[in-house]
Amino acid sequence: MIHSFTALLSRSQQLLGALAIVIALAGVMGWSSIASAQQPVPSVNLGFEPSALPGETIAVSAYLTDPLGNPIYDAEIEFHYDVEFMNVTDSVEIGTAVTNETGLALLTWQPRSDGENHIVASFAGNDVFAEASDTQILEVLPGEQLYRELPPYRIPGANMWLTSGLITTVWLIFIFSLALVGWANLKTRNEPHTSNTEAKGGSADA
Amino acid sequence: MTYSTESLERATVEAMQRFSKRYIISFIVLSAFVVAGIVAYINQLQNGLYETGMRDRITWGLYIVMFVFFIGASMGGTFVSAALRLADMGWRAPISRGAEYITVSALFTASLFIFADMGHPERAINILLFGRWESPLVWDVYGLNTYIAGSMVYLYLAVLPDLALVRDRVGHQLDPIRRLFVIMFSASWTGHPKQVKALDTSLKVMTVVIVPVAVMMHTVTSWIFGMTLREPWDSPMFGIYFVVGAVYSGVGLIVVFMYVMRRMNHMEAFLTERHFLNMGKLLAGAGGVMIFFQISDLVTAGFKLKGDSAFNLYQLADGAMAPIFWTYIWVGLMIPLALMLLPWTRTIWGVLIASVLANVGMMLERYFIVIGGLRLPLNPYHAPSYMPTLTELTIVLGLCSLFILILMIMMKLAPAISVQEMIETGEIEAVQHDARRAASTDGPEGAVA
Repeated sequence: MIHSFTALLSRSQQLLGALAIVIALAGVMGWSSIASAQQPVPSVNLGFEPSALPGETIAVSAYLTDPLGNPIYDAEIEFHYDVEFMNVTDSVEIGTAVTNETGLALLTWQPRSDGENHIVASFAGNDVFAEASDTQILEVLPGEQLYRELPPYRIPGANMWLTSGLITTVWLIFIFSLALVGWANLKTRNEPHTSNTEAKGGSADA
Repeated sequence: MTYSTESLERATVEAMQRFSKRYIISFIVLSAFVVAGIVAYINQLQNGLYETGMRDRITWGLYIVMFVFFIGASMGGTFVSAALRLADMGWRAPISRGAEYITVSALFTASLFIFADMGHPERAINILLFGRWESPLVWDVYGLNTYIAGSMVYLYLAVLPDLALVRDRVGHQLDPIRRLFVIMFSASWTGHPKQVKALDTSLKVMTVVIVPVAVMMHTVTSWIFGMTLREPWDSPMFGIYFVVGAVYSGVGLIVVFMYVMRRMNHMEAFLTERHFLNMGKLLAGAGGVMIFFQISDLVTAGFKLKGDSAFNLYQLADGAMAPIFWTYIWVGLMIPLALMLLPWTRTIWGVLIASVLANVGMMLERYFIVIGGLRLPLNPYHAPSYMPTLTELTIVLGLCSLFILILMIMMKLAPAISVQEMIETGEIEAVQHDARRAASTDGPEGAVA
């Protein structure tokens, strides 16, 4: 059926049809990218001291300007840094700041570990401007670490031996309680007696 | 109706021998739930904990909630049986056996919840081989094993004379399995005065030991949370909080058990309204202390709103945990207390409803403690959510059914009311007095109402 339908069309008609489909698809798919491409891309300029010590408070700033260099006011800038933990590298948020009338977003931060810290300032974009970001490296010098292990707090006499001694004593009491009854049972099993129930039960029939 | 030792012995032994239609149907239905739980567990073992709602951030879910709940339930049993024995309260006599059954059954079920929570249960042995003594998890394992062993010894010593009674009275009428059980475990008990004296000494020693062991167990369970660096769990009050909460839910569970046993085994003559009302007083007392702790905790943390505790308070007050938290406050704490304070709801039904609500409340409290604590983000993430899956719910249903099944089996292996304690404490005369008083106020039917 399809074969007979295509046979009705000339080769030039088939080519024209294919071309029309390609143009239509390109139009639909490209519209959004063309539209976003129309948004001006601002510029983010990240700045901080090139080096710091762990735990030292540093100022991290980012200027957000439009393509003509004019400051963009009241825009949110997110600051991140890359962290590697157990062979996984991911981005951890430092914080967010909003640009002032000079386009400056500013916050303070204490780097936590030494080595190269890749700091990223990113603007997510809005109705007017497209998204933009900037990355810089902060060299955190070896020094006193932010997290220190405190010397252990010890209670005199509290240790593994005390704990295990306590548990063993409790278990021995369990065994003793069972053994006491077992021993009494064994010793008296053949002795004649009046049963406990009969002895104490009484005749409380109402 | 007679209230003699003879009638009590006859009633308890008959209850042991009787398999009513309701009992058999309940047994079959609960067994079906257990089988469903086993199937769900096999599925979880094959596919891993991915089958549950737990993920990398909510690492403890319904299994740990139920573990804490059942550990709490066991405390009620120890409290009623041993602590009231220490305080020499005679009215505990017809209740203590059920309380001891609940302790053992709840501890067994609680330990199974730990295995349900493990992706690799075969590695459980590693905590004994490689566990660090500094870890509260290791303390909990040793504590739980000690508590289970102690509770079983305590139950065995308490039930020994009654097992001998069954052996002597109806041993020959029992089926071979139960006959073997009764003969084997009644040992050579004959009720000789020397045996009675030895048993009395052993029970006194065990009573003194088992109460601190139970308190230790609940405190150590609370330390699993309290010693983890998470703000919502960061409270030195957690140990006391868990112990009182355990007594609250445990007493409630015993009341439910008492009611079912009373109805199923026709024990109205020996489990009177007085026993229920006394249990209601214990429930109200524990509930009142829980409310006091809750207010103290919330007011001090809420006044400061310090750091991450603010997150926790907001999630409880009007956040993701708010429906659970407020249901716990009103349904789990306030309504049971009101039911026990108002004179016209201070009845068997009132105590039963308060007990059921207390247990619902405590289950919810465990839920928002465990899940709410884990929801707190330690990094700048959004708070995670948790929803138990069908697999989890089926396993929980299976294990809860197993808990009831164990109780049902225990009730058929030994008398559910301690004849020995009823005689020793003079409670047999007290129930007779209850019956006379009821008859004088309500007519002859009042005695068994």
